Amino acid sequence: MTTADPNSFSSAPPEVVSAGPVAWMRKHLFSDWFNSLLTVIIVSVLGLGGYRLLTWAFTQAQWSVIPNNMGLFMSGTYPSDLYWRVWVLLGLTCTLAGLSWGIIARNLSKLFSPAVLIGVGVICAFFVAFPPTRPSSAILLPMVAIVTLMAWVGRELGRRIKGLGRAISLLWFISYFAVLWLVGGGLGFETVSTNDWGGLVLTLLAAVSGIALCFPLGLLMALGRRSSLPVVRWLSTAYIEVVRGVPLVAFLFMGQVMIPLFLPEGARPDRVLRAIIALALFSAAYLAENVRAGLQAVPRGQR
Amino acid sequence: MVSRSGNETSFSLKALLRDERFWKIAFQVITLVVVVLLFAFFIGNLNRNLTQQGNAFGFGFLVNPAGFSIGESAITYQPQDPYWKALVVGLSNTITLVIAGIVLTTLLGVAAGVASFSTNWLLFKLSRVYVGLVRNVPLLLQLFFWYFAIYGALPRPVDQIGFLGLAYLNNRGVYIPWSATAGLALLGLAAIVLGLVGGFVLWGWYTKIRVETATGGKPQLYGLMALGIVVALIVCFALQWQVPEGMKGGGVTGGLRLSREYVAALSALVFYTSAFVAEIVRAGIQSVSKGQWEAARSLGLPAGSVMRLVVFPQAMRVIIPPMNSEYMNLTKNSSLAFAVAFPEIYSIATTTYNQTGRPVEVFVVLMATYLLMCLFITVCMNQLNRAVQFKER
Repeated sequence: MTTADPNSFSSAPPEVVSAGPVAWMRKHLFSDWFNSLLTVIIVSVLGLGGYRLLTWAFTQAQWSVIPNNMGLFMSGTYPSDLYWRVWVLLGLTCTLAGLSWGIIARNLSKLFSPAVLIGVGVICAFFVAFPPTRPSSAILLPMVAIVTLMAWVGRELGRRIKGLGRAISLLWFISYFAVLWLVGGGLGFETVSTNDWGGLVLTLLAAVSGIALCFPLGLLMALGRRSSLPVVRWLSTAYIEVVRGVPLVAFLFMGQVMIPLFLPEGARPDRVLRAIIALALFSAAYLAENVRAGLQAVPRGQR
Repeated sequence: MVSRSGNETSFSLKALLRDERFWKIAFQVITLVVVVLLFAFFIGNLNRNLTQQGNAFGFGFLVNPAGFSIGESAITYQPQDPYWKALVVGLSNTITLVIAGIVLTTLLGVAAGVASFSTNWLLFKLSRVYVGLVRNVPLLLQLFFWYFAIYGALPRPVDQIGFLGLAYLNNRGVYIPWSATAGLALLGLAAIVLGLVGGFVLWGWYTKIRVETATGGKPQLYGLMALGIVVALIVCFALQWQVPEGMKGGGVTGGLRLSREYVAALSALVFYTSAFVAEIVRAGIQSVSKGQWEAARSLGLPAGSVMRLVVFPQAMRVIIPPMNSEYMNLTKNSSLAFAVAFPEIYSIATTTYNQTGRPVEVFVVLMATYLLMCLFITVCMNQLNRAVQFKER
């Protein structure tokens, strides 16, 4: 393989100006026999793979399973007569996202630049044209409208009221509990067992909860590992190294089984909660190492 | 003086409370007590819960007969063998997966990393797209892709694909030539390793002589050739190669069958980890200063030699430490192979737990196994790291 240095643009001799696709191909694809051979091999392999993929996609594949199971994919076995809650959840998220966008971009002269408008147009066209999302486009298009409207509102508000950035963070924080209440029910709503949570909703919920929970623990472990107190340092190091040595699946699976065993009788956390705890305990060890690296990167002279 | 000695007790208590050393020790004692109490609480609950279930903590169950069969095994195993033997079988399967994975990942990852500096536009783009695509898709999904979409789409044994009569592919697995017995295979492996080490030493000797005297070194060169020929002869003839033979009605006899589960897990692990390795290699190469490239070029070295002799050895210093964690990731991720029913240690451990209802003991065994494997990799990589660091005199 022929290699070039990464900074060749500055040390290369003046280029012979030659334009056109043929000159470009000569330079970038067929500069010597080895590169030509590579090009031929790559083109033939990619061509064959692409041809087979396309013939499969247009003759054998049954794409109808995707629109038919869209609900399952998005929210698992969540009761279909309660789907409106998931839509409200999406609406809430869109409102907050739009507001945050507007507040962050409050000092821009033009909020909806041509690139943004094209992006919004592409998303709308996708919702209308892409078969799996077409049945829901009556709801998805208003969602896009909410985001853009809220962006405008957020910008106007952000220009008038100072310190709105902190308020929006607080709103996001509160919205987490509102979402839990929406999805899980209770307090006057019909409860939905966590057995029926699922799909993308559960993935995002578990990810957000895991990320939020692993931060305090990870930070604590990182500080502990850099502490001058030996006992604290040893305990943190032991935790980090043991957890980093075990695969996530093993941790998750055994977390499901063992967390109830370690707790007093009757205290049996919900299975989603158990998964989130295991996820947070696992990620905390990795986060701790990242934080430690960041702390170590600060020169001693700064202290 | 008098008043000072009068309230000495209260004074010393105040001094104690102000003393930083006291607080340091007190804080550690408190931490330790809290941790110990927490552990005591957990272990106490565990003991009570386990005795209630009638399963007191202990590893005695490991000698009971396992009673389940294992799809494939590097060592002989029967269902009536004890649990510990089943776990050893799982470990051996994990190790075969991890070793093959590490070797192939290194090759593919370095190739993909170097390819991102290629002057060939297509190769450069291919490397970038590969890294971007593979790093952003979960490994579990990729495992299913390889298992169902790639190896599952191969023809049935009746219509199997043969490669010059040397290897066969069908939807049950991949068949490659292999030596007749495991002992001979190990002998071949040992011959190759010894040959490589010997060749390395001889080549170093030869280069040293050439550098110091600018002539001579013929005996070393002949020795190198002889070594190569001997190793090639051993590998070709002493191992009693068994070539797989395709049968008329489909199916294959002889040779080594790599099951569909194994090749799918191996492909997914290798392609996934290589994308990360490629980025590490790219970062390492970029970390070598421009002056090194220019100096090597102005000595008249061709582009390939610049990379091989000057840039890459220096990049190794940056590459090795993160490679350690990638190898450990590969080892830990090999546990996902249970999803395609490859009987590695995690899947055997789950079966053991399901049959015996002893999650804690099984988890302890599992954790110890993975920790030991990771520790072994770390020790090896630290040795390698020491070898490539700056030699400061």
